[in-house]
Amino acid sequence: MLARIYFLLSALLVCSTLGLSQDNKASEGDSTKRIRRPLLPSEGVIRFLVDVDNGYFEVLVNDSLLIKRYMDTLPEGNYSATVWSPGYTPMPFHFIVEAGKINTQHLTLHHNTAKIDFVNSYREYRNKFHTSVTLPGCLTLANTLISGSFMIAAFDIRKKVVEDVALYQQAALNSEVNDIKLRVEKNNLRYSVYRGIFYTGTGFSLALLGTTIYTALRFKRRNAEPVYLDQSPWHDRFSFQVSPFGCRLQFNIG
Amino acid sequence: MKHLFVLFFILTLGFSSCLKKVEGVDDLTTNIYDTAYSGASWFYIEEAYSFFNTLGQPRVMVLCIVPSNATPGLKPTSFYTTAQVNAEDLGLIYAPKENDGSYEFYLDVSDDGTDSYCVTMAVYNAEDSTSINGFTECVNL
Repeated sequence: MLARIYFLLSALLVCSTLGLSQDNKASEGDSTKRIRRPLLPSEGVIRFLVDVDNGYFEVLVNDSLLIKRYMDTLPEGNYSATVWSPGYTPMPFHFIVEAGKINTQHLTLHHNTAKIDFVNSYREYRNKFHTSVTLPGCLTLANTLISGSFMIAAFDIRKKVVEDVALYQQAALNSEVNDIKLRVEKNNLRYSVYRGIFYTGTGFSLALLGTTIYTALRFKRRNAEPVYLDQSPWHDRFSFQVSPFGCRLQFNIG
Repeated sequence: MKHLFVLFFILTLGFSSCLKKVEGVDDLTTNIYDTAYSGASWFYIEEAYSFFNTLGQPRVMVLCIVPSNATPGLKPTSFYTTAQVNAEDLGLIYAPKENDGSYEFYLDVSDDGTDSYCVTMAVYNAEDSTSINGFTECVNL
C-alpha cells in the first residue's frame, strides 16, 4: 500500500514538473510562470487552445517533436503539425512562431466515426441493460416489498384473532361473547384477505425474480459492454515511463 | 445482490409458514354464554333421593353439578340459572363457586309420586333477563 502511494506521488511529482498535465483554462499569468528561462532572441511561444471534451491532446510538430503541453517555446519559423485527442480525428494544421511573442492557435477537432459508433452502441447497450435487468429487478423489489408489508400486517391481525379466540373462552357475559365473535369474524376476514395478497404477491415475486435472472443472463450472454480504446497515433514513437526508481524516455525508430 | 435476494425469499417463505389459518375461529360455539352454543349438556345429575322434610312432607332432592370445564375461564362467583323439575318451575336459582370451580345445585322439589325426575336448566343471561342454552337431564330414584 505504501509502495503504491509512493509510486503515485512520484508519478504526480514528475508529471507536474514536466508539465504533462493539461490545463487549457490556465490564465495568461499562470502560463508565464511556467517559462523557466527568458526567451532567446530567436525564440517564441506557441499556445494551443484545442476544443476537446476530454482536456487532453497531443501535437506532433514537423513529424519529429511531440508536444503534450498546451504551450511551449519554439524557435521562430513556420511549422506544420498534427493535433490529436482521444476520440477525435487527427487534424493537420500550420502555425507560426514569432520571436519574442506568444502566438495562440485555436483548433477545433472533430469526433472520429469510431467514437460516434461507440457512443451510439454504448447508449443502446445501456438501454438494453435497463430493459433486461434494471426494470425487472425494480419490479421484483417493489412487489416483494409490497408483499412483505402485507405479511407484516397479516401477522398483526393474526395476533389479534388469536387473542380474541382465547378471550372468547374466558368471557362470562353474553354481550361480551357477541362482541368478541364480531371482532374475530371481522379480523379473520381481513387476515384471510391479507394472507391471500401475501401469497399471491410472493408468487409474483418469485416469478419476477425468475424473469429477472433469466433476462439478466440472456442479456449477459447476448451483449458485451462496448469498450472504446483510442491509442495515440504516435504511441509507438515515444514512451515515457515513470517508476519509483526513476523515469525513462524511449524513442522507437523505424 | 443475488445472494441477498435468495436470503430474502428464504426468510419470506419461512415467515409465510407461520401465516396459516387460525385454529378455533370456526369453532366459537363452545361458550355456554353464547346463544349459538353447540356443545353437549353443560350439567349433569349427580344423585337424586327422596326424603321427608321437617314438616313430614315427602320431598325429592336432585343434586345437579355444573363442572368447571363447562363454564368459561373467568368463573363467576355465583352461577345463575333457571330450573324446572318435571312440571315444577323453580325459577331463577344460583349456586356459589366451589373450590374446584364447579357449581352444585341442590334442587328440592315435591314428590309427585313418579320414579323419574327430569331437570331442565338454562343459563340465565342477566343483561336481558333471558335464559339460553337449556338442557334436560333425567334421573330415576
